Amino acid sequence: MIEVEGLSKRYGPVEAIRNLNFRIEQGDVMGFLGPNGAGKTTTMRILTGYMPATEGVARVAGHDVFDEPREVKKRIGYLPERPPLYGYMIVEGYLEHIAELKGISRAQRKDAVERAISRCALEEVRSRLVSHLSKGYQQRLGIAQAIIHDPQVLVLDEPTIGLDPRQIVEIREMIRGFAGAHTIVLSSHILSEVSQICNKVIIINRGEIVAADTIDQLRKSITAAERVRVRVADKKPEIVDILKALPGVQSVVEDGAAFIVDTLPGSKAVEVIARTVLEKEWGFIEVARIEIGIEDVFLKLIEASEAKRAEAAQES
Amino acid sequence: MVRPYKTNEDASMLGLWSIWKREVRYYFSQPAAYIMIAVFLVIANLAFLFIFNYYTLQSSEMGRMTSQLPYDFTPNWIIKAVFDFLGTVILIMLPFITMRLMAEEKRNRTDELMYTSPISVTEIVSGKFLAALSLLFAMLLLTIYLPLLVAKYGELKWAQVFSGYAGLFLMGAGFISIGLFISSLTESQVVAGLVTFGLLLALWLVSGMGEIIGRVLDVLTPSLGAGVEGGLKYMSLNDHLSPFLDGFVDTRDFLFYASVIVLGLFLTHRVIDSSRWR
Repeated sequence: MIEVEGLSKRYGPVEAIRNLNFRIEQGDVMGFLGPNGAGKTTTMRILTGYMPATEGVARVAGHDVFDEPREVKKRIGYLPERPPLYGYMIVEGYLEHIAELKGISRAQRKDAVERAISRCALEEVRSRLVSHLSKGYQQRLGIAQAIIHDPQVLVLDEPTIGLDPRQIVEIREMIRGFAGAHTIVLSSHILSEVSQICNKVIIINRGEIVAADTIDQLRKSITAAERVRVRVADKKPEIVDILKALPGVQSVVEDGAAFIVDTLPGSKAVEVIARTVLEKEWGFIEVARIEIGIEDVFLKLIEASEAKRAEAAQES
Repeated sequence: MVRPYKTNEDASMLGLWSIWKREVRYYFSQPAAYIMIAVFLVIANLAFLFIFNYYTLQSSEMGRMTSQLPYDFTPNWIIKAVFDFLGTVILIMLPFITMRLMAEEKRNRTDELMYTSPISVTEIVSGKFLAALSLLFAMLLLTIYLPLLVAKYGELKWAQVFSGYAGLFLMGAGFISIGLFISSLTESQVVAGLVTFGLLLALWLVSGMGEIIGRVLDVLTPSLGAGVEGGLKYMSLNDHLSPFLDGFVDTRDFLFYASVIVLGLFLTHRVIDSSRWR
C-alpha cells in the first residue's frame, strides 16, 4: 500500500531523514516510533504530499506522491500533529466543508458527514462551534476530518498527544476500530501506545530507521538476553560482583530494592543464581524471570544506533 | 473494506468554490466584516454629504460668479469626487481584509489541511482572492444609492458612473492581489497588514514623488527628468484610476491593473509552492 525507497529530506544543511526504505502492506497498522525530532513528522508530511522529498520515491496505492499528488491525496486521510480546525465553524459545517475539499460529490456529501460523525462519536457536539469544543472532541473532529472521504490510507501524527488519560484510551479505541478498513500509519513517542494499537513498528532515530518489524518479532530479536530480577533482604554491595562472576551472566544492575540480571538465553543462569542466593544466605525474597518490555527494546535500539553513529563519527 | 466515495473527477472548480465559500462564511461569521462595511458606508456617506453640499453651494448663482469651476461641473462631478475619495478609503481598509488570508492559515496550521487535500495551489490562491474580491464588490455595491440619489435631482451620465465603479473595483482587486502576496510571506497578520499598507501607500504616493524627482532631474538633464517622472507616474496605483473616474476606459490603464493582479497572484503561488520545497 505504501512503498518508500531511498527517501531523504534536507532542510538547508539539516538532514531530517536519510535514505528511508520501508513498505507497508494493505491493512497494516504501522507505528512510527522515535524520540522527538527523529523525522516522523517529516516522513508523514512527504507521504501526504504536504512537501516533496529531497531524494527518493514514495508511492501510495501505486501512485507516486511527487508525480501524481492529486491521486495520492484522494486516497490519504491525514491528521497533523495539531488538528487543522476552523474555530468559527460549527462541527457539521466544518465536516461538510472538508467533504467538499476532498472532492466528495454533492450527492454523497451528506452521507459522508453523517458517517464521519457517527464513527468518531461526535453526535453530541454536531451543532457546537468548533472553538468551543474540548481538546478531546477537537482531536476526534481532527480524526473525523481525516476519515471523511474513506481513504485507503490513514496517516495520524501523534494522535493522542496532549490528551488526558481517559481521552487517550478513547482515541486509541477508535483507531483500533479503524484497523482493517484502512491501512494506518501513526506516529508516537509513547511505546506502550504503539504496542497496543499497531501490528508493525518502525523505529526511527535521527532520521534513520533503526528497526522495522512486527512487534513480537522485534521483541524476540532484541531479547538476546533473559532478564532476571533478584531481591534479597540483606542487600550487600559485593552481591553485584558475585552475581557477575556466575556463568551465563551478562550484566548486573542495581535497581532500587532489586538487582536486574541479564543472562545469556538458553543458559541455566536462573537456576545458578537461585542456588547462589540461597547458599549465601542473603535473605531470599525473589528470583524471577521478567519479560523485556517494548520500552527496553526501544531504548536498546536507540542506544545502539547512537553508539554506531559515534563510532562512525570517530572513524571519519 | 474500503469503499471510497465517488469523487468529482474534474474537481478543479469545486476546490476553488469551497475555499471561496469558507472565506465568505468567515467574513460573516464574526463582526469584523460587518464593521468594515459599516465604516465604509459611513465614510462614503459623510464624503457624499460634504461634496454634495459643496456642489449645490458652488452651482448656485453666487458660486458661479465668485469662483472658477471645473469644466465638468455636472452632477457627475459629485460622484467622481466621492469615488476619488473612496479610492483612498479602500487603500486604507483592504489591508485589514487581506492580512489574514494566508497568514492565519499558517499560524493555525490549517495550511497542512489545504495542501494535503486534492486541490491545487491555483485553486487555493484564486479562491482566497475571489473571496476578498467579493467583499469589495459588496462594499461598492452598497454605495449604489449615492448615484441614484444624485440621479433623482439631476441629469447623470450612468456610463461614467459605472466606469468609475469599474476603476475602483480594478484598483481594489490590485490591492487585494498585493495584500494576498504579502500575507503569504508571513505568519503574522499584523506584519502582513502593516507591510501591505506601507507598500500600497508607497505605490500611491509614487506619482507625487515622481513629480518632485522629475523636476530635480530636469535641472540636470531635461529628457531624463521627464522619463523618470513618466515611469514613476506609470507605476502609481492611483494615476490609473482618474481616467476611469472621468469615464474614459483606456486599455493601458486596464492592462496596468490587470498585470498588477496577475503578478500578485503569480507571486503568491510561487511563495506557497517554494516554501514547501525548502
